[in-house]
Amino acid sequence: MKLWATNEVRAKSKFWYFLRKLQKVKKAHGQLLAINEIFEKYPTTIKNYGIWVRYQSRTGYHNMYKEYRDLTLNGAVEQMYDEMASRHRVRFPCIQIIKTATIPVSLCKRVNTKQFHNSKIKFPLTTRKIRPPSRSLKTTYKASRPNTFV
Amino acid sequence: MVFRRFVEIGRVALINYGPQHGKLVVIVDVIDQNRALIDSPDMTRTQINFKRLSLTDITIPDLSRTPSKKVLKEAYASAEVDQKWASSAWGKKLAVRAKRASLNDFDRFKVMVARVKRSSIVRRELGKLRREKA
Repeated sequence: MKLWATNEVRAKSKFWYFLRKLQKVKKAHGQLLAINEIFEKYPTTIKNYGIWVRYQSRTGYHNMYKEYRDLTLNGAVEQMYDEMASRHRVRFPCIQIIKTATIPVSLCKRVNTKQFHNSKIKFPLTTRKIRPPSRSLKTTYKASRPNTFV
Repeated sequence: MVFRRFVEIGRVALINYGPQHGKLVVIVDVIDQNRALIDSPDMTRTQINFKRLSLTDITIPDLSRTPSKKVLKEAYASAEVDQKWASSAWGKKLAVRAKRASLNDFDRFKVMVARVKRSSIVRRELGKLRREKA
Protein backbone atom coordinates (compact mmCIF):
# COMPACT_ATOMS: atom_id res chain seq x y z
CA MET A 1 0.00 0.00 0.00
CA LYS A 2 1.28 3.42 -0.89
CA LEU A 3 0.42 6.19 1.50
CA TRP A 4 1.67 9.59 2.55
CA ALA A 5 2.41 10.67 6.10
CA THR A 6 4.75 13.06 7.83
CA ASN A 7 6.49 10.37 9.87
CA GLU A 8 6.67 6.61 10.30
CA VAL A 9 4.30 6.48 13.23
CA ARG A 10 1.56 8.27 11.36
CA ALA A 11 2.25 6.14 8.32
CA LYS A 12 1.67 2.94 10.27
CA SER A 13 -1.50 4.36 11.76
CA LYS A 14 -2.77 5.33 8.33
CA PHE A 15 -1.90 1.88 7.04
CA TRP A 16 -4.15 0.23 9.61
CA TYR A 17 -6.89 2.78 8.88
CA PHE A 18 -6.93 1.83 5.22
CA LEU A 19 -6.45 -1.88 5.84
CA ARG A 20 -9.48 -1.98 8.13
CA LYS A 21 -11.52 -0.69 5.22
CA LEU A 22 -10.21 -3.45 2.95
CA GLN A 23 -9.98 -6.46 5.24
CA LYS A 24 -11.39 -7.50 8.59
CA VAL A 25 -8.16 -6.99 10.48
CA LYS A 26 -7.10 -4.54 13.17
CA LYS A 27 -3.70 -3.50 14.41
CA ALA A 28 -4.22 -5.76 17.41
CA HIS A 29 -4.77 -8.79 15.19
CA GLY A 30 -2.30 -7.97 12.47
CA GLN A 31 1.39 -7.70 11.99
CA LEU A 32 3.11 -5.05 9.96
CA LEU A 33 5.84 -6.75 7.96
CA ALA A 34 7.68 -3.91 6.32
CA ILE A 35 7.57 -0.19 5.99
CA ASN A 36 9.74 1.38 3.33
CA GLU A 37 10.15 4.95 2.22
CA ILE A 38 9.85 5.31 -1.53
CA PHE A 39 12.22 7.83 -3.05
CA GLU A 40 11.68 9.54 -6.35
CA LYS A 41 13.53 7.83 -9.16
CA TYR A 42 14.11 10.93 -11.30
CA PRO A 43 13.81 14.02 -9.08
CA THR A 44 15.22 16.33 -11.75
CA THR A 45 12.64 15.73 -14.47
CA ILE A 46 9.28 17.45 -14.54
CA LYS A 47 6.29 15.14 -14.54
CA ASN A 48 2.55 15.64 -14.72
CA TYR A 49 0.91 13.88 -11.81
CA GLY A 50 -2.76 12.93 -11.71
CA ILE A 51 -4.16 12.35 -8.25
CA TRP A 52 -7.54 10.77 -7.63
CA VAL A 53 -8.89 11.89 -4.27
CA ARG A 54 -11.86 10.97 -2.11
CA TYR A 55 -12.62 13.68 0.40
CA GLN A 56 -15.20 14.51 3.00
CA SER A 57 -16.84 17.88 2.70
CA ARG A 58 -19.33 19.39 5.10
CA THR A 59 -22.17 17.72 3.23
CA GLY A 60 -20.79 14.34 2.18
CA TYR A 61 -18.06 12.43 0.37
CA HIS A 62 -16.89 13.41 -3.08
CA ASN A 63 -14.35 12.19 -5.60
CA MET A 64 -11.95 14.43 -7.39
CA TYR A 65 -9.28 14.16 -10.01
CA LYS A 66 -6.50 16.73 -9.78
CA GLU A 67 -3.44 17.33 -11.88
CA TYR A 68 -0.13 18.79 -10.77
CA ARG A 69 3.17 19.47 -12.39
CA ASP A 70 6.07 18.65 -10.12
CA LEU A 71 9.43 16.97 -9.92
CA THR A 72 8.45 14.39 -7.32
CA LEU A 73 5.28 12.53 -6.40
CA ASN A 74 5.67 13.72 -2.82
CA GLY A 75 5.77 17.27 -4.08
CA ALA A 76 2.59 16.75 -6.07
CA VAL A 77 0.81 15.19 -3.10
CA GLU A 78 1.91 18.09 -0.92
CA GLN A 79 0.50 20.49 -3.51
CA MET A 80 -2.74 18.52 -3.49
CA TYR A 81 -3.13 18.75 0.27
CA ASP A 82 -2.38 22.47 0.21
CA GLU A 83 -4.85 23.06 -2.60
CA MET A 84 -7.61 21.01 -0.98
CA ALA A 85 -7.15 22.94 2.22
CA SER A 86 -7.23 26.30 0.53
CA ARG A 87 -9.87 25.73 -2.13
CA HIS A 88 -12.23 23.38 -0.30
CA ARG A 89 -11.27 23.82 3.35
CA VAL A 90 -10.62 20.07 3.57
CA ARG A 91 -7.96 19.01 6.03
CA PHE A 92 -5.58 16.08 5.96
CA PRO A 93 -7.69 13.57 7.91
CA CYS A 94 -10.63 14.01 5.54
CA ILE A 95 -8.67 13.23 2.39
CA GLN A 96 -8.03 9.76 1.01
CA ILE A 97 -5.75 9.34 -1.96
CA ILE A 98 -7.31 6.69 -4.17
CA LYS A 99 -4.68 6.63 -6.86
CA THR A 100 -1.73 8.57 -8.19
CA ALA A 101 -0.16 8.31 -11.61
CA THR A 102 2.28 10.09 -13.87
CA ILE A 103 0.21 11.23 -16.79
CA PRO A 104 1.73 11.46 -20.26
CA VAL A 105 1.34 14.82 -21.89
CA SER A 106 -1.34 13.68 -24.36
CA LEU A 107 -3.66 12.51 -21.60
CA CYS A 108 -3.56 15.56 -19.35
CA LYS A 109 -6.98 17.01 -18.80
CA ARG A 110 -6.53 20.28 -17.00
CA VAL A 111 -5.82 23.47 -18.93
CA ASN A 112 -3.68 24.68 -16.04
CA THR A 113 -1.15 21.88 -16.61
CA LYS A 114 -1.52 21.82 -20.38
CA GLN A 115 -0.51 25.47 -20.67
CA PHE A 116 3.03 24.50 -19.65
CA HIS A 117 3.30 21.81 -22.32
CA ASN A 118 5.15 24.12 -24.65
CA SER A 119 8.78 23.53 -25.51
CA LYS A 120 9.15 27.19 -26.50
CA ILE A 121 7.52 28.55 -23.39
CA LYS A 122 8.18 32.23 -22.84
CA PHE A 123 6.59 34.73 -20.51
CA PRO A 124 7.70 37.83 -18.61
CA LEU A 125 7.67 38.19 -14.86
CA THR A 126 5.30 41.10 -14.65
CA THR A 127 5.82 42.35 -11.10
CA ARG A 128 8.94 42.12 -9.03
CA LYS A 129 9.24 42.51 -5.30
CA ILE A 130 12.73 43.64 -4.38
CA ARG A 131 13.62 42.08 -1.08
CA PRO A 132 16.79 41.83 0.97
CA PRO A 133 18.76 38.66 0.24
CA SER A 134 18.24 37.33 3.73
CA ARG A 135 15.82 37.90 6.60
CA SER A 136 18.57 39.29 8.80
CA LEU A 137 18.98 42.26 6.43
CA LYS A 138 15.30 43.17 6.64
CA THR A 139 14.54 46.74 7.85
CA THR A 140 11.26 48.17 9.06
CA TYR A 141 11.65 51.51 7.35
CA LYS A 142 12.87 52.27 3.87
CA ALA A 143 14.02 55.55 2.39
CA SER A 144 12.03 55.27 -0.82
CA ARG A 145 8.80 53.73 -2.07
CA PRO A 146 9.18 50.38 -3.82
CA ASN A 147 9.11 50.06 -7.58
CA THR A 148 7.59 46.78 -8.66
CA PHE A 149 8.30 47.06 -12.38
CA VAL A 150 10.48 44.12 -13.35
CA MET B 1 5.29 49.09 -20.68
CA VAL B 2 7.46 46.72 -22.71
CA PHE B 3 8.89 43.60 -21.16
CA ARG B 4 12.42 42.86 -22.25
CA ARG B 5 13.46 39.96 -20.07
CA PHE B 6 11.43 36.78 -20.39
CA VAL B 7 11.37 33.51 -18.57
CA GLU B 8 12.38 31.11 -21.34
CA ILE B 9 14.50 28.04 -21.75
CA GLY B 10 18.05 29.29 -21.95
CA ARG B 11 17.53 32.50 -19.96
CA VAL B 12 20.37 33.17 -17.53
CA ALA B 13 19.22 34.39 -14.14
CA LEU B 14 20.79 35.43 -10.88
CA ILE B 15 19.60 33.85 -7.64
CA ASN B 16 18.80 36.75 -5.33
CA TYR B 17 17.66 34.98 -2.17
CA GLY B 18 18.53 31.93 -0.19
CA PRO B 19 21.64 29.82 0.33
CA GLN B 20 22.69 30.09 -3.33
CA HIS B 21 22.45 33.85 -3.40
CA GLY B 22 24.60 35.42 -6.10
CA LYS B 23 24.87 32.41 -8.40
CA LEU B 24 24.22 32.56 -12.13
CA VAL B 25 21.93 29.80 -13.34
CA VAL B 26 20.19 28.83 -16.55
CA ILE B 27 16.44 28.21 -16.72
CA VAL B 28 16.13 24.82 -18.40
CA ASP B 29 12.40 24.26 -17.95
CA VAL B 30 9.31 25.74 -16.38
CA ILE B 31 7.49 23.59 -13.83
CA ASP B 32 4.49 25.77 -13.28
CA GLN B 33 3.46 29.36 -12.79
CA ASN B 34 5.77 29.88 -9.83
CA ARG B 35 8.67 27.51 -10.28
CA ALA B 36 11.42 26.89 -12.77
CA LEU B 37 13.90 24.12 -13.20
CA ILE B 38 17.35 25.64 -13.11
CA ASP B 39 20.76 24.24 -13.88
CA SER B 40 24.33 25.41 -13.95
CA PRO B 41 27.60 23.69 -14.88
CA ASP B 42 28.61 23.39 -11.23
CA MET B 43 25.36 22.45 -9.50
CA THR B 44 22.72 19.72 -9.63
CA ARG B 45 19.51 20.54 -11.46
CA THR B 46 16.92 21.81 -8.99
CA GLN B 47 13.69 23.71 -8.84
CA ILE B 48 13.47 27.28 -7.67
CA ASN B 49 10.71 29.82 -7.20
CA PHE B 50 10.69 32.75 -9.62
CA LYS B 51 10.63 35.05 -6.62
CA ARG B 52 14.20 34.01 -5.93
CA LEU B 53 15.39 34.76 -9.45
CA SER B 54 16.45 38.00 -11.10
CA LEU B 55 16.41 37.60 -14.86
CA THR B 56 19.41 38.92 -16.76
CA ASP B 57 19.75 40.03 -20.37
CA ILE B 58 21.88 37.01 -21.20
CA THR B 59 20.28 34.04 -22.94
CA ILE B 60 21.71 30.84 -24.29
CA PRO B 61 20.09 30.60 -27.72
CA ASP B 62 18.67 27.35 -29.09
CA LEU B 63 18.69 25.45 -25.84
CA SER B 64 16.35 22.48 -25.84
CA ARG B 65 14.11 21.64 -22.86
CA THR B 66 16.05 20.08 -19.95
CA PRO B 67 19.35 19.47 -21.74
CA SER B 68 21.81 16.94 -20.40
CA LYS B 69 24.65 18.23 -18.26
CA LYS B 70 27.16 17.75 -21.08
CA VAL B 71 25.01 19.69 -23.55
CA LEU B 72 24.41 22.42 -21.00
CA LYS B 73 28.10 22.81 -20.23
CA GLU B 74 28.95 23.11 -23.93
CA ALA B 75 26.16 25.58 -24.59
CA TYR B 76 27.09 27.61 -21.51
CA ALA B 77 30.71 27.83 -22.66
CA SER B 78 29.93 28.58 -26.29
CA ALA B 79 27.46 31.31 -25.34
CA GLU B 80 30.24 32.83 -23.18
CA VAL B 81 27.83 33.49 -20.34
CA ASP B 82 30.49 34.17 -17.70
CA GLN B 83 32.35 36.62 -19.94
CA LYS B 84 29.14 38.44 -20.88
CA TRP B 85 28.23 38.65 -17.21
CA ALA B 86 31.63 39.95 -16.16
CA SER B 87 31.55 42.64 -18.85
CA SER B 88 27.98 43.74 -18.09
CA ALA B 89 27.35 46.75 -15.86
CA TRP B 90 25.37 44.65 -13.40
CA GLY B 91 28.08 42.00 -13.21
CA LYS B 92 30.79 44.59 -12.70
CA LYS B 93 28.81 46.27 -9.93
CA LEU B 94 28.42 42.99 -8.07
CA ALA B 95 32.11 42.20 -8.55
CA VAL B 96 33.11 45.57 -7.08
CA ARG B 97 30.76 44.99 -4.15
CA ALA B 98 32.27 41.59 -3.52
CA LYS B 99 35.79 42.95 -3.74
CA ARG B 100 35.02 45.73 -1.27
CA ALA B 101 33.54 43.26 1.18
CA SER B 102 36.61 41.04 0.98
CA LEU B 103 39.22 43.74 1.65
CA ASN B 104 41.41 43.40 4.71
CA ASP B 105 42.67 46.35 6.74
CA PHE B 106 45.82 46.79 4.69
CA ASP B 107 43.80 46.80 1.47
CA ARG B 108 41.48 49.42 2.91
CA PHE B 109 44.55 51.50 3.78
CA LYS B 110 45.83 51.17 0.22
CA VAL B 111 42.42 52.24 -1.09
CA MET B 112 42.47 55.25 1.20
CA VAL B 113 45.96 56.25 0.02
CA ALA B 114 44.90 55.88 -3.63
CA ARG B 115 41.77 57.97 -3.11
CA VAL B 116 43.71 60.72 -1.33
CA LYS B 117 46.25 60.73 -4.14
CA ARG B 118 43.55 60.94 -6.84
CA SER B 119 41.64 63.67 -5.07
CA SER B 120 44.85 65.70 -4.56
CA ILE B 121 45.55 65.59 -8.33
CA VAL B 122 41.97 66.66 -9.04
CA ARG B 123 42.09 69.50 -6.54
CA ARG B 124 45.43 70.71 -7.84
CA GLU B 125 43.94 71.03 -11.33
CA LEU B 126 40.86 72.68 -9.88
CA GLY B 127 43.06 75.17 -8.08
CA LYS B 128 44.90 75.96 -11.30
CA LEU B 129 41.61 76.61 -13.11
CA ARG B 130 40.44 78.85 -10.28
CA ARG B 131 43.65 80.91 -10.36
CA GLU B 132 43.37 81.32 -14.14
CA LYS B 133 39.80 82.51 -13.75
CA ALA B 134 40.64 85.01 -11.05
